[in-house]
Amino acid sequence: MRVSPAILAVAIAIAPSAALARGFAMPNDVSGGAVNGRNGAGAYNRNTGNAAVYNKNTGTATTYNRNANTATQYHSNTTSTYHPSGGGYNGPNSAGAYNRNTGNAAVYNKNTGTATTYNRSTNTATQYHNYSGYSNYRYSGGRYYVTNPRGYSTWGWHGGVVWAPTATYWGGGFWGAFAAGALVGTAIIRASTPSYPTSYAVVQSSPGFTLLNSYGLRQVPCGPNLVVINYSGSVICAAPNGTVAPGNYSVNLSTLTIVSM
Amino acid sequence: MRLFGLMLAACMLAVAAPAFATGTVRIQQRDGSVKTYPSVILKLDGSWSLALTSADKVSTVVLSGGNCTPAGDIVRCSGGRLSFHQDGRNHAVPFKTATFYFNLTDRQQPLSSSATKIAPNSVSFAVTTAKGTSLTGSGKLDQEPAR
Repeated sequence: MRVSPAILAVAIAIAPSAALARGFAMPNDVSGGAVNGRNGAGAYNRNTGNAAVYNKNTGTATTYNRNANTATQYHSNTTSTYHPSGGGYNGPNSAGAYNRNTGNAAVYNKNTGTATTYNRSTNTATQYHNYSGYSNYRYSGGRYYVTNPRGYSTWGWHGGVVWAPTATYWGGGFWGAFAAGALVGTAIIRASTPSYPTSYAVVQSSPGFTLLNSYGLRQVPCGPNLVVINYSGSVICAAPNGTVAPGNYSVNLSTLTIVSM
Repeated sequence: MRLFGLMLAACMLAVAAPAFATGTVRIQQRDGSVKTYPSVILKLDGSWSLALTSADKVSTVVLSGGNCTPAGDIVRCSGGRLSFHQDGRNHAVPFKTATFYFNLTDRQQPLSSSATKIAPNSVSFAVTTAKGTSLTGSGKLDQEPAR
């Protein structure tokens, strides 16, 4: 059978594109985070929410599957899967691993969608977040800045005038003029358990109220899986929404922007 | 047999249509490795959102919401949001810098203070992601907003 020259020419023309690997390769930008040590490696996939840690000294690998809510440890000869009710598991909401030879560790928390790795050599902890569904998050200098939906210019939220904290007030008065120790006229927002901080009701005319309002946040008693905003020694908690993910945040005062801690 | 050959050629031409796209994207990973992608499909919409689709249509990089300002016959866009779409998933890609130059005229246009010229109805761009990946490229736009 003779092959038409025209068909051959077309086939040659499309050959390069057909031979390409699948799509663009940007593995460093679309996967989660990873940390490598001398004796082990840990990785977190922020898209699937799964995490894995390998320890070459013990020859074991531990994986966490967010969908099944299970942690599985792989040995050289056996495999054990731990469920929340079983042993050897870090808890219903997380999986973790520690490498006793390197002193490095990695923990995954499914509630916050974060994986935290600790490197003993550099004495640093790196937290990997899952902010893929939040369009206001901007990564810069190792932190996520959550753009204020109101788009305030510098001090724009305060009429262009610099706002200064008052040292004698709780949180510098950012959440309202609460005299330290004198709680008359203010509501205490009690924590749901003793391990979470107690804070005070945000006053409507305060800068903190403007902050919460601009992000569409509603203050709630502090507890797990919430937006926790820290300012000058004070803590306010709010229910997460489509703009702000659960996690700890500090405040950039001039633009009234929250920054993931 | 001849009819079959013609039909086969027509089918192959239809499948190969994206291969006629002229866009080229060069991706350099932070470890220095480089890969160049030919025949990238470049689509621009009316809000200056540019989509770069790989020739196999598996992945698309989109820059949207940037600040776009005219500079003579060139439009310069910077900032905005960068996202990566593949396998039904959408990933926001934090970036350090993203600059795109559009020439929507029918003549080649020089970039000011540069020897670089941008072909008619084309784009030239450079992006550096927060993770250190570098994307550069150029090519004729396969889709432009209606004028």
